[in-house]
Amino acid sequence: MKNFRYLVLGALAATALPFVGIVVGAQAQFNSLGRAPAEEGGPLMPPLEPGQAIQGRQVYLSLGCVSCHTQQVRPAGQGGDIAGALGARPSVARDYVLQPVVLLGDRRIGPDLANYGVRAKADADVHLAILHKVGGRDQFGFLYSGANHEIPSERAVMLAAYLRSLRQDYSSPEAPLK
Amino acid sequence: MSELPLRSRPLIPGQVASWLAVLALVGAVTAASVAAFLHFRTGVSPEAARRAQQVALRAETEAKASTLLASSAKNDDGTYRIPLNEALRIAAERPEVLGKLAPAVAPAAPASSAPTAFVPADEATLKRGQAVYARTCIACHQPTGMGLPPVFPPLVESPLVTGDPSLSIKFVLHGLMGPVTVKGITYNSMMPPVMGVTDQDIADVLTYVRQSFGNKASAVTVAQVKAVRDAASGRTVPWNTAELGIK
Amino acid sequence: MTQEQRSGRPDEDRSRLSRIDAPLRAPFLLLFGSAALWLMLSSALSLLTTLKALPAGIGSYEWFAHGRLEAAARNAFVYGWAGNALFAINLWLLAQLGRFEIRNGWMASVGGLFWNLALTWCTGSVIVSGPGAYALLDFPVGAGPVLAASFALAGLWPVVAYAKRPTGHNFAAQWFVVGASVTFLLAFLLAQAAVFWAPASGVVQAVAHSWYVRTVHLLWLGGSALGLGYYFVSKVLARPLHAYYLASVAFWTYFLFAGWTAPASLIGSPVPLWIQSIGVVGSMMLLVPVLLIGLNLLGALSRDGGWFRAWNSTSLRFISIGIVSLLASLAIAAWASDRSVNAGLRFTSFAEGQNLLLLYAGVTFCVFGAAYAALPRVSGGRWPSAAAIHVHFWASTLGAAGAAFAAFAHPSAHGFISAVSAALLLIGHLAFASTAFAALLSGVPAGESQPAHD
Repeated sequence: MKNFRYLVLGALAATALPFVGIVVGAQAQFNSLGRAPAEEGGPLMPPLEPGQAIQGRQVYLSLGCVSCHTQQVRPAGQGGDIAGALGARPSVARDYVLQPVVLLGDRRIGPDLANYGVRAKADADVHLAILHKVGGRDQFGFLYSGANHEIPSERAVMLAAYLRSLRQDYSSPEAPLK
Repeated sequence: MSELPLRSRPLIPGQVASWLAVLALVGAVTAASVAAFLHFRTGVSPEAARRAQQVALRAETEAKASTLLASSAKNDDGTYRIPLNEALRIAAERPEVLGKLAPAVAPAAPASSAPTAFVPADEATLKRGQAVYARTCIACHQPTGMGLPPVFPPLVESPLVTGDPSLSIKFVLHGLMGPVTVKGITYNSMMPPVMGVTDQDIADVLTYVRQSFGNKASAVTVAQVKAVRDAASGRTVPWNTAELGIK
Repeated sequence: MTQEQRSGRPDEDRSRLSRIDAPLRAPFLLLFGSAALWLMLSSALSLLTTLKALPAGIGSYEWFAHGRLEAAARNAFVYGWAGNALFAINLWLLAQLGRFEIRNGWMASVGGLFWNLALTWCTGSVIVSGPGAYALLDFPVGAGPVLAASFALAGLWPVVAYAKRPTGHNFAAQWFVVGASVTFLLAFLLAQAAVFWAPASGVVQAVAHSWYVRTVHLLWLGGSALGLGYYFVSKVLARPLHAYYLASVAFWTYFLFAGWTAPASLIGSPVPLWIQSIGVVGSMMLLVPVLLIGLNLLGALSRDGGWFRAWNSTSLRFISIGIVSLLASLAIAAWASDRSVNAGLRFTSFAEGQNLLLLYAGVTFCVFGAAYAALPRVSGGRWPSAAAIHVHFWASTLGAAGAAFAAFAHPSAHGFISAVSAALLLIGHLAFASTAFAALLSGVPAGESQPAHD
């Protein structure tokens, strides 16, 4: 059936062409992207993560945090992220080169976390934030023990370490800090 | 409509062949697109390169340690099987290699000697300490103890590590923040407190660190760890180099 | 090009139809029954996610974390409900359109069985050990190949059977359905490659992911729904579509443009500007097929009291709402892709509203409509009660409207209205499932054709 053949080929082209154009195109541009020094002769950025933060990312992933939190700061002309103190500069692709999976997120039911490590103060505040008190109840109480959910489990400590490692407060060649 | 009665049409053979043809077509387009995708993936990311280097180094170290342990320490012409400058790295991974390179050190004098004197710990302690190291410290301070300048400081030739043991105990229990200079490089990361380790574990791992990688410092006892823990029992934040008087 | 005239069909055709429909009964029972179950599971999980704070008893368990419930609900909806329902309905539709008897329909059943087994494993894994990093790609290791192979059986086998059919003519509905089925397998394999087998570095994974989601939504689900629209609008109204000569242009422009609209969901993200711009341009260009499809389908409905006849026909009532919602969601997407509009809308619940309009009010309503036409013909059974159908229609419509209002309106309206809407949807789906199972399980033997509720 000639029509059937064209139909199948057309559908395959309709799927493969955007893939090649968009995804392979992005791959071609970013494949060799690596870390870069923030200033002349300085250390390479983004910094390597502490071991606990690497494990904390697995906790973040397994709890599905990406469904409510983003980790990207948009440029100044594209939304009020920078004006709203979510970051000093927009996020760039280079900020994510060390991440095995990129948790950009698509929804801000909770705040953006790209620079949480810059905003976070004491450990107790971080753990309080992780608990997510909503309607008088701790949503993530299962990560803690004790009468008031004050004793963090190992997973909570790793998650806190991961959250503290989230920072984009260094200059990048594509987005220098003023 | 069709003239032939439906049931007699030979659908089955043609169906299977067409189905396989469609699948083959999908497979071909997939292969072509993935090939295009992989074509641009030739460059290895710096992170992957670093990890590959580490894996290769560890494998090489293991191979050389095994060779030495299986055979005599010296070749026929008197040269050592492992060059001295590599011995440091290899002994860090496999402390038993030390036995081949140097004659066994006689057991030191009993506890009346000064607490800072170098008394080699027994093999069991070093083994336990190495296990704790591999579980916790290795991610940052690396298997060689050389750390990762300029983020993670080395444990080699570092007076902070080989000096007063209570400092190291404090770092492990509560963490450390603030700038620290080791061998001319300034580090300003944060060492988090180490979780999931008992006092015995801490004593073992600090003993291991203080007596490996070329370090020759005294062992650390459980009593010392307990003393530091009790003295700072209310502490919830990491130590700061300023308050400890460290540069 | 002649259209079927249902009332004027000679007896010979009637008996042939039941010979066409009868062998589909077993695969339909398995596939559509599973679809109904997945729909109820997805609605129940969605209801849980709309509750701001779960009751203390279950809220303290890790399995009920918001991210996990939502990922499970999403998988159950797209792969479980829409996947299985489309397998069943495509099987029936292609047989109808080609007017031939599907032999070896059990191949589709086997495919459906493994599809559901793999999906149960995936959904369980999401709840117990957490979702993956990317929506609709939460597969534990090893699930991917099983899903791909089952799709090759359940989704592509009917397509190939269609290619071997006795009759020769081609109708727009077939193009959409065939194209959509072929698209999914390729998109699935490419997404597996770019995200799992040979992971791209950094943000390229996010680009690949957004491409996959958009392809699944627009090309597979949307394309299938449009095929259903093209079939049922002309069949129920019993007349040709409006400006039908434009249908092939509509088809090709839709399929060739839709995939390029993916980066519109990445505007402002740390991906190259040229990729974002492609998404914006693609979304705008998709207005061309929206216009053409609107002309074909909505034009046909707007002539000679077509809308009234649609309202009075169970299947066409659902389908016309489905088509209008689907086209509306694409038009809204074009508007929302403008950068200045996007700046205010990104990361809010607006995207949820768009998805609701596209996937629920659009695709799912089209599937409901097709099901109400296909079920009695496949099973020969009668509807157990007209009341259940009314409950289903009103609960689904009001629930969808409520959820859309909550998503598009100011976020402060979100909590309570979402929960009530989700509850309404669950009630509607329970009614639908009871109707579907009653029809499938109480059917008369093949050969006696019963009139449909239509």
